[in-house]
Amino acid sequence: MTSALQSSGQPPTGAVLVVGGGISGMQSALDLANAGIKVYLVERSPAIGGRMAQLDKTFPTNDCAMCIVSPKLVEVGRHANIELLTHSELLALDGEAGNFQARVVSHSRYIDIDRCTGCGLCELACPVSHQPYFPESAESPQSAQPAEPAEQPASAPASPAGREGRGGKGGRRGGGEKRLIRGNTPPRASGHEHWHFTVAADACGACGICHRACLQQAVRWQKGERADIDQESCTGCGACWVACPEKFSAIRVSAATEMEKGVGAAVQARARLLRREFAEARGLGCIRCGLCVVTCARVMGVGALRLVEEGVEALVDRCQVCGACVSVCPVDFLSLEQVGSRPARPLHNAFNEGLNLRRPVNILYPQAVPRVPTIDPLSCVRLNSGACGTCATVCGTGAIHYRAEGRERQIRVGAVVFSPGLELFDARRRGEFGYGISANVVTSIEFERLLSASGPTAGAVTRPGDGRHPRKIAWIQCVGSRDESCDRAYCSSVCCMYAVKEAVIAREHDAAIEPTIFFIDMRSFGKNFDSYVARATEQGVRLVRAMVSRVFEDPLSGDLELRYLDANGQRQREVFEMVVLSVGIQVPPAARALADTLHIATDRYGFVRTDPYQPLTTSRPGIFVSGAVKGPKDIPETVGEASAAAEAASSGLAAVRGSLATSTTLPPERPLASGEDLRIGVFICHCGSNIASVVDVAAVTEYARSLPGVVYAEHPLYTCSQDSQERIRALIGEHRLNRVVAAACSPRTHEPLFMSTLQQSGLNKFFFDMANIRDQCSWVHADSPEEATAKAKRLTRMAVANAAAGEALHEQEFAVDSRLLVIGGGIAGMTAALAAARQGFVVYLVERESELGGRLRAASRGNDGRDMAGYLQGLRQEIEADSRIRLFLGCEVVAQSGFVGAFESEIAMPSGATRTIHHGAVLLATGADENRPPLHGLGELATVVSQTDFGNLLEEASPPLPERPQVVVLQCAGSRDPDHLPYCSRVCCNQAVRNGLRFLERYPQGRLDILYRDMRCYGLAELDYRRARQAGINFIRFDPAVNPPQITTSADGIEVLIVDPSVGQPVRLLGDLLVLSTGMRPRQNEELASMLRVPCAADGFFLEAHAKLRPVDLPGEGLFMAGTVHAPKSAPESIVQARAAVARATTLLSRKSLTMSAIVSRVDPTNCAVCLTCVRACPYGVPVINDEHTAEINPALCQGCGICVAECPAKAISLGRYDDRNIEAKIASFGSH
Amino acid sequence: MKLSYYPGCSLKGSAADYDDSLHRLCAHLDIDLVELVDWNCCGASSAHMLNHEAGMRLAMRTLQQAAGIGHDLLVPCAACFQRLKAADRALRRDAEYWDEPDYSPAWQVIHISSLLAAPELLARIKKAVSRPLTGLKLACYYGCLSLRPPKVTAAENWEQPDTLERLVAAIGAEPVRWSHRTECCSGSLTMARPDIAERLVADIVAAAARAGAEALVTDCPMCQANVESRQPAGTGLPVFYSSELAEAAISGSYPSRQRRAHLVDPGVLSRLLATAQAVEGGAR
Repeated sequence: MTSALQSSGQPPTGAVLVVGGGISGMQSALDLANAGIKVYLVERSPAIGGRMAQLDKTFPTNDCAMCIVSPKLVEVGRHANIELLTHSELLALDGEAGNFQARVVSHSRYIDIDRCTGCGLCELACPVSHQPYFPESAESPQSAQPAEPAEQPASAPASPAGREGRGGKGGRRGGGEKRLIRGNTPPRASGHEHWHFTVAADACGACGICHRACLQQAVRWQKGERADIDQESCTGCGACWVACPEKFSAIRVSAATEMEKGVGAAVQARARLLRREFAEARGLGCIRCGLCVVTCARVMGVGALRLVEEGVEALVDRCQVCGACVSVCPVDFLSLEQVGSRPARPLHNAFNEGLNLRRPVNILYPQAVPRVPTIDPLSCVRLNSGACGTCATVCGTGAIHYRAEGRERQIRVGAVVFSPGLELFDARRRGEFGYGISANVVTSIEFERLLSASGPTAGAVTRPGDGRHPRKIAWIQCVGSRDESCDRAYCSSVCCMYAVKEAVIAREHDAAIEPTIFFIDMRSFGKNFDSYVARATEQGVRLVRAMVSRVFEDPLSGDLELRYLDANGQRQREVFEMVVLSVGIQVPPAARALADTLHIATDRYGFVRTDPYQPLTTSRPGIFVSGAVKGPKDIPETVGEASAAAEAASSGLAAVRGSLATSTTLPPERPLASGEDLRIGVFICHCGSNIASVVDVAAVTEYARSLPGVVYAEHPLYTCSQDSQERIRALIGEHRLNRVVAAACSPRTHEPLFMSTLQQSGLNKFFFDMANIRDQCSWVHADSPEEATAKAKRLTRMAVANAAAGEALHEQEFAVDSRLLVIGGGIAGMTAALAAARQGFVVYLVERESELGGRLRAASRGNDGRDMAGYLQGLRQEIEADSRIRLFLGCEVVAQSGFVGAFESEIAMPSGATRTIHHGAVLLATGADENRPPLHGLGELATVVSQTDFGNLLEEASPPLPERPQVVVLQCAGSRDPDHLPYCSRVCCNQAVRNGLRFLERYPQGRLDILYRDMRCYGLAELDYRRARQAGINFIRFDPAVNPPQITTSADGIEVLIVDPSVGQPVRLLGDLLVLSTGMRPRQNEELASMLRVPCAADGFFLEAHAKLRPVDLPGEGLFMAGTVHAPKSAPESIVQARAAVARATTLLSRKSLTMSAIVSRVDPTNCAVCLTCVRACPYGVPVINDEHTAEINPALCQGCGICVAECPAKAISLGRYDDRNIEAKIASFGSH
Repeated sequence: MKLSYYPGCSLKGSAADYDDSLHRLCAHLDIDLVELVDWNCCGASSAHMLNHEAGMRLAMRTLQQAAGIGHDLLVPCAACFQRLKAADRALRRDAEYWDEPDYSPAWQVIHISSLLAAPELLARIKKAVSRPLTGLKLACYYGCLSLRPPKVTAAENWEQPDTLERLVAAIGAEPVRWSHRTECCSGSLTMARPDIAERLVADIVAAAARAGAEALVTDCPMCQANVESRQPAGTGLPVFYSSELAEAAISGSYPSRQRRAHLVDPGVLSRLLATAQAVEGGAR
């Protein structure tokens, strides 16, 4: 695989181009950058984050997607080795592996990314809400936008009310239709603080037009004389100003706030004032402020509006339908249908899936990295007609440049990671569900946005049709998945779980919601997924196994009637208030096109083709693939694959690692002067609306200002966003802050971010504390805002007190041993060892058996039908030939000590001797066993075999089965069963299908029945399942509670009685062989777990550090895992994990040194009574009694848990920032009010 | 514009009024209908169910005649359209198989819905309207066969069509939003299982009424007959042909022989025409 990289003469380039800034691209970028490789991250959209940033919560832990992804966004945004190229595209790639030349275009944002602070003022000031109709000449160059045909009929589906009917149609073609817009009340003057207009006598042309335009008789004029304005009767509407011919421009404006910036800015300022003044007058009538007319004429340069006695007169054909007049109207008097004749084209907010509108200048989403807006060249008035330009006038940093052009550049890289991501199936293609027609039918991604606190409804689950809170909500699964009719025959893998999650979260938002999920098979095949689904059903999520045939909308209520066949084959009708279509995943056309440009082979759906045993390698050497573009997958699998792709991409670049990397240098730490006054800065986070919707953050901020030592406080929308971090840095300098407190979310996820900001400001990072006013306050006290605010104040107070008591702590640096210990020599361990060796590290590979290969030695064929023995032999030879790999066969790791970067392990040799090795990281790959429960005579009768046995039986040269064998396969035999294995083993369905197909290949006359509960052939494996059905394999579904199969086995044959739900009849199957899909069970992992000091889950598999974003990290530093030791999975999936784990290990092993936590226990020997309490209490076995007869704690081993500190009767142990001093300060502060 | 015309049995019998209104509408729109001289049964009634070969050959014989003329072949009846389209598709895919190796016509089999909803024709209709049916709320009803199966009909939007809505808007009436537009009218069961037919039709009519429709409009003779004849007594929602309404809006009149052809009183249209104002200069 790497030969191509090394073949060319010149040394490879130590940089990698990552295509796509979603979770996959970000993870690849971070793993590469942390291993010393320079990364260019190219993302099409204006910000990184991808689909994950759009999600509300994530399964199966219900973690908030934004909360767990935003630290990654920020890390990518800040990383010195990552060059972020957003709003950019890869155009071409020349050269070959090791030395590519990439041509990348960065489209113009029209905003200077370095100057912009992300304040969002431009977006607030932009008055345009709809795609304007620009004059032909201006619009034609950007005709890329498929403009709606103007002649779109008022057809029932597209536009309910028939917009042509309104206002008569007679004058449409006349070019000059004037429409009068009246209110419910006669127009009245707009209040006191208005703009002042005067006539500049020297400029006045004495034409009298202003006199005629004024409705107040405030302009005095006589023929041939200059005009003059009577300030007593002037109401400041500006009619005279707008009317005055340009050649004179004789009317002058004064007393207009922000007019020095421009008319657009002044209009917005006045609109804000008027909105407050006329808060109650909304929608009643015109207040004749004139802002609409001024905006249309003087900002948009259109002049389609005029003030008249009765209200406002519109030249409907001149109107460009941009929405500016409507958006500046302080009393919501105007509507867009009234002022223009052409259909309004709303500018949909794509990040919110079109559920609300955006401006032509906008920031993609609140937490966007970079938080810099872009101007849409199709809809921006300035860029098309040359008018407006309001945003540039309000920008405080001069960051807006309308003439800015995109730029192309050549980038030299050694490899490419292709992870352009996914798009969702267009639900309109399943017309029977009425998406796009029935307003209350939404897609699952739209529902995510409805659930999201930063979404269009701020997290309220409401119907798009009428804003009502729905009670009954239906999810329809497999919309654009497992669907031949739409050429989407594959399974999208994630929809079952996201639908269950959405249903659960919907009920969390509103307990009145009754969710129902209509599904075909419940494909909850991942780790802990089944228990998640079980919990969901306990919490009121109803699951109905049925495919909905049609959705009927009630035209009056907007409710939706679903029709389906129930389990008994009876037709059912059921009415729901909202329907969510669980849309599938597909490859975006742009990604397909790019794959073609890069000469990467794809399948008919556009998924990148790979060899199952080289799962990251594309058809073009040097380009590696990760994420959903390789096949549908969930976030943890994507993250694993992204790390693995990073490993694969850097594999050939090990020699040039660090050659292009920048090392971060922190400013020198500012020592505090003795007796320096406390200068505390406090930041109270809105967390979007997570906190601010419950807690009065302004009040908490105000309160924080009153606390002793606090010299500065503010309440940012997202304190963790990159711009906020920049701001905190600036504020630390500006106010000479020496303590910082953030009242926000969990320190577990966000403390490192804030601490690094302190470091970058020259402040010791332990002069920081965090109050968790989200998880521990706003989320749990959502119904009691006042009390929550009081609690937030108290939590903030305590954090301030703790920060005041904080002292500077310092981390120690220590050298990293670059060797890797791999425990387990199965496919995962072998793959990992080879990969790590290629990365240049010495590997100790320890295998308990006397031969490498693990469980796959028992398999004759691989997933793709390849000869397994040959494949394993190839790996063995490679390992044996690699001088960097030290192989320990028949050996076991029996003891381990040390810590990340400096582990020491004892290996028991076959001779009985032990050997000690030193290494910097551990990769655990000890695998799992095939489950062999004594069910139906397995192990006793020759007529009952396991699925693996069956696979091998099929490969035996002389077929042991009769000529026309009858085989019955029982799925979930001892799986998903509380008496055996409670979980799903993920691989059995695919294994059964593959073996079934192979069976029919060998025995064309044979018959095979598969009894199953849910066929979990996720992703592209669904195609095999389909092939199996077409080949004649008979699938019979059973539910252990409803129609359990009655199985009788004997040495002569087997008999199965079962009610087949597809025919509603009992059937009797006689067979020669019963095949049990028994699943995988964990090995005896307890000893290993305690040796490595990491936990196993209740089911016996090892727990990852984070189910979503750290799938191959064990919850101990420097410990990683791969393969079935983590959970059941297929061999290709194990290979991905193995390489991912090597990528993660490489981020440590490639460093010369690591820093050790400063928060460790220290024993004060003078107070130690040598009572051994700490020695007994420490769960990690760290404290020892030293030669001087006092307890000693190795700071490198100490986990900083604090148990010894609490237990020590003599109070001889202290723990960094968790000293009594700190805790007492907090407690005192708690009770101080 | 010249079109070959295949009326089929319905338009010569039970739906003669459809044929009548269609001819008059085409006359208004300068469309010349050239009826095939020796057309035969399309095969929809029983042939295609009983004998595939016979079903196909019947339609193919008609297609051969159309091929001799060379214009697009207009088929108003949905069942005829579906059969002729199926035969046309089979011939185009594998003419050899059907022993008609020369079949590769430049002309198409077109259904009346796609004819009348073509932008150019809509514009002509709009221009010709003298009495826009302003205020008339119509439920556009497509039924099944003109759209499905899409592999045969080549319909672009077989689940959510909008051709009738476009036509209805062009003649000034108001299409209502409703969801039973492509539901089965039970035409094929109406004789054998009137009980089922009555239930399905009652559903359709109730949905249309709930949406505020005063009448239905369709372009299928089976749907028209079935929905009018099987609807519960007292519902009183007439079912118009699209051509019937378009012709009325253009001519400004509604002949009593058209009116008499309905089983449900179509008074809503005559009353509207009695009050509708003529558009100035709209009539040709």
